[in-house]
Amino acid sequence: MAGGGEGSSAGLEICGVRKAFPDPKRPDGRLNVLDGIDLAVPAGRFFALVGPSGSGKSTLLDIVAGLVRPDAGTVHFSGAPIDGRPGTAAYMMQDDLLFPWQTIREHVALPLLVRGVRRREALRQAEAILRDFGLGAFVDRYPSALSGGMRQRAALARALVQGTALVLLDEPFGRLDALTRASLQEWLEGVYRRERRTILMVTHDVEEALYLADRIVVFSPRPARVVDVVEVPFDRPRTRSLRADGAFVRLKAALLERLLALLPEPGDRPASAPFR
Amino acid sequence: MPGDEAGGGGGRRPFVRAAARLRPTRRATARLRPEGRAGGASGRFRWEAAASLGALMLGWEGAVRAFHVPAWLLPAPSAVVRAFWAERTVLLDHAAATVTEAAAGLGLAALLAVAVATAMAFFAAVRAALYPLLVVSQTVPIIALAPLVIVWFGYGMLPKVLVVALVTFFPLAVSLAEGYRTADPRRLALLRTMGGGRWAAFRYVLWPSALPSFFAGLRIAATYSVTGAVIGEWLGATKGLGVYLIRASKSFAIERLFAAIAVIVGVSLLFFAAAEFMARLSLRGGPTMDAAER
Repeated sequence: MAGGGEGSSAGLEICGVRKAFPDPKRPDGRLNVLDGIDLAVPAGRFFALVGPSGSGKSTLLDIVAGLVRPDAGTVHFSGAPIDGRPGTAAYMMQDDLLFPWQTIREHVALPLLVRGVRRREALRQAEAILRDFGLGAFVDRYPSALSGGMRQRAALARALVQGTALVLLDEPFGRLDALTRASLQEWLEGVYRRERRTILMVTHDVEEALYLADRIVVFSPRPARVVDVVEVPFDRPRTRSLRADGAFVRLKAALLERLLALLPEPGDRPASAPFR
Repeated sequence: MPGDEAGGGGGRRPFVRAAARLRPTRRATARLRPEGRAGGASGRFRWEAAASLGALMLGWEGAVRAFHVPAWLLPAPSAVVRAFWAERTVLLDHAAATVTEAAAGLGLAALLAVAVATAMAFFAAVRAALYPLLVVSQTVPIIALAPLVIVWFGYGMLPKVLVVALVTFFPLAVSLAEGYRTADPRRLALLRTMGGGRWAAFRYVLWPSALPSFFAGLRIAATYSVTGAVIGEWLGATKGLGVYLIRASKSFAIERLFAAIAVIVGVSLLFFAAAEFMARLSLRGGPTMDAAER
């Protein structure tokens, strides 16, 4: 099962996924969010998903996670259909979503307990993973007593401890200051290199996408389509100096340009609520 | 001397002392607060409360003495204290019966409330069927129901336990049901991505999310429970503070009546404190940062 050629294990395959939500405020009563998404993430690769706010990136992750059913299209992982079947992918949602009533150790033990691992064994494994994640001294802390960076790392540990081959990250470092974010990006890059799981990460931060991902998928504004898939040409391990590298900076500028072109000009933008 | 105070430990000590005095209180009240909401009564009696109570007692005592109010109309606090001391064994004997009824009724109501509220959380149909009934049941005056309970179940302890359960069931069931409803749907979804089913969702998200609200209800129910027991006894019993109240008022022993009221207040506060203590044991982890970050 392990390793293998790229051809044998199919990774994540999203085909023709459409999704609309009911919205009584619109004339047709529907809000089209995803307008036929086709995307293939080969096994063991790290893809980033960028696009304007509200373009349905999180909805796509919800669908891949099995929480939301698509109106049309299919989602497969390793050849098996996974839409509407939660439990195949580890999913780190926005805002870390830690539970105030649990210690960090209990958080990381939770996915194991849910899967039926005995409590003592789950807590022991959780502690070992937290030590790997640099949180060994904080296992008995509650989330309220942790910094933002530690909370994100704990939430990530909780997602990765599930051991799934597919990992979904929704703006894992969205709420952090720039310095903490940069250091956690380096750390996540290391985790990825060690474990080589298939990762799909939503982010608003072009630099984060470039630094971490193998490929960057660009979404159009709602209803979302894939308008671009950008190959990130940098070798791993990605170094700290990469951020200042000429090619990196040029690619970042080009990507930003691409994303900004997707937005309506601030001046032309129609007023969302017309005057009456 | 002034320099001595400004430098080093001397200057810091008042702050340290103040911090040490404040910290346990703050932490305790913050811990009880359901996330994102301002906490209710903290249940802490501070010196301001003691001072105002003391002032009230002194004013009362002074007024009774100054205007020569007859004891059968309004006894002075000192007379009430004397009556309490003279009657202490009888009073405590009656109080024991009341406490037993209140505790048993409250326990029964808590068990029923957990069963009903949890069933409502799991099955929408159960919720739709029971919730209106719950609200309507609460509008039935307990004072009208209590005699009926006594007709059905006699003068023993059981009817009082049932009256207490009737009074306390509603706040417990509603607070727990509301607590279940406040559970964050994203947290429930997260549990599904871990492969968890309904039981896991209940155990790891619904129940812990509901606990702060449940304990808010328990604190209300705990104070109601003693009053409920007294009302039950009042309508017919051989023992309990309610019986003592009737005997005291029928014999115009108003200072004994006041002493009994003081005991009822004291017992109610004990119940409240017990509920608070249980809440603090159960609600670990303190307030979430969620509210502050959003």
